[in-house]
Amino acid sequence: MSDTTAMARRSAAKPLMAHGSVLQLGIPNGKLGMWLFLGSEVMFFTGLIGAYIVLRSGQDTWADPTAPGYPLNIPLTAANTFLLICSSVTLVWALQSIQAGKRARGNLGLFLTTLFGAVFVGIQGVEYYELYVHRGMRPDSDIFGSCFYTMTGFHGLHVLIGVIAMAVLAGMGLAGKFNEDNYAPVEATGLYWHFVDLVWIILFAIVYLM
Amino acid sequence: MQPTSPTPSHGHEEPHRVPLWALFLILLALTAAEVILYDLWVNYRFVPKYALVILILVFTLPKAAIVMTYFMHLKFEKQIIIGLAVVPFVMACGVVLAILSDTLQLKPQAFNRVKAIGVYQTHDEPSQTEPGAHQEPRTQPSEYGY
Repeated sequence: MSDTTAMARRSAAKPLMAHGSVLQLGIPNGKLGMWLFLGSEVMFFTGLIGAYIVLRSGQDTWADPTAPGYPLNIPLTAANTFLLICSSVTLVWALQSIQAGKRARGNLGLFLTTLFGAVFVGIQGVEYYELYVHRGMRPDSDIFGSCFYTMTGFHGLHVLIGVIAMAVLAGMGLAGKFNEDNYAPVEATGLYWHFVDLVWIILFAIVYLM
Repeated sequence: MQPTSPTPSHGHEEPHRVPLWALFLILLALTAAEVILYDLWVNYRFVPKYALVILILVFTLPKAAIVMTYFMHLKFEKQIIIGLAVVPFVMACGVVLAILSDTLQLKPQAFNRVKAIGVYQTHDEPSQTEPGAHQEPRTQPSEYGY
């Protein structure tokens, strides 16, 4: 390889490496990696849901929502679901604002997303406290409690990780890191956040309403 | 793998705008419909439980589809990304359906049996190798209303 050719290749590659992201597929590496990761996450939650179906089907009895002592607080959880949907909307709004060059709106959207996510985790903590301490429903109480804490707990952990990531993004936004040409971290992290929202939509129906 | 020329905006796709607030209202309405339906069922039991499950899915699946299609931008993505997203979901649906095909055939009475490595043991025939492996059905309702 001649020096000229090598220099030309380095020169052509340099701008791409600065953004560190595009290979032959024409897809940013971060986005491609996130989609691959989400594929594995789909199978993880499918495993949990499959185990839930088998365990629930194998029981003579299950928590009866029409009984007076039914432990789950549906209105509170519905409000939490609403919050998570709001957080997805504010994140899309933030991304669209950054893409349009409206950085202040983008920063506000990232902040609101972080806030909604944090409130979601907080409400889930309150729910756990109420169930565990006041209602005596523990992971080792019975299979219903075990399934409930396992499924909602793993999801809650995902939300917590997402909140931390969103807080970091919000900080980066305030530091002026994002603009209409550079928003890949928001896009990739956003995919994760929307996936967490998607999982909750399904878990809310399966665990709480069915 | 050699880098190639990126799409405009340094490797980003051209931004696509989604009807954000309309989607928000739809998601909100579907969630509210789910909860109202559930509340009505708890109070009036107007349909059997399996019908409630189907009705709730009628509201849940469009919500999931909206999030995937618009919020995760699948509608505007390249084929390979759509494949990466759809294949795991198809596999997941296959797993769930395979599990349901087994569990839906079993009647509640059958669950008094212990299933171990493909061999059913009944209460009439207690296990020789795992005494006490089966559980007696609960007779007293718990505080959860079992």
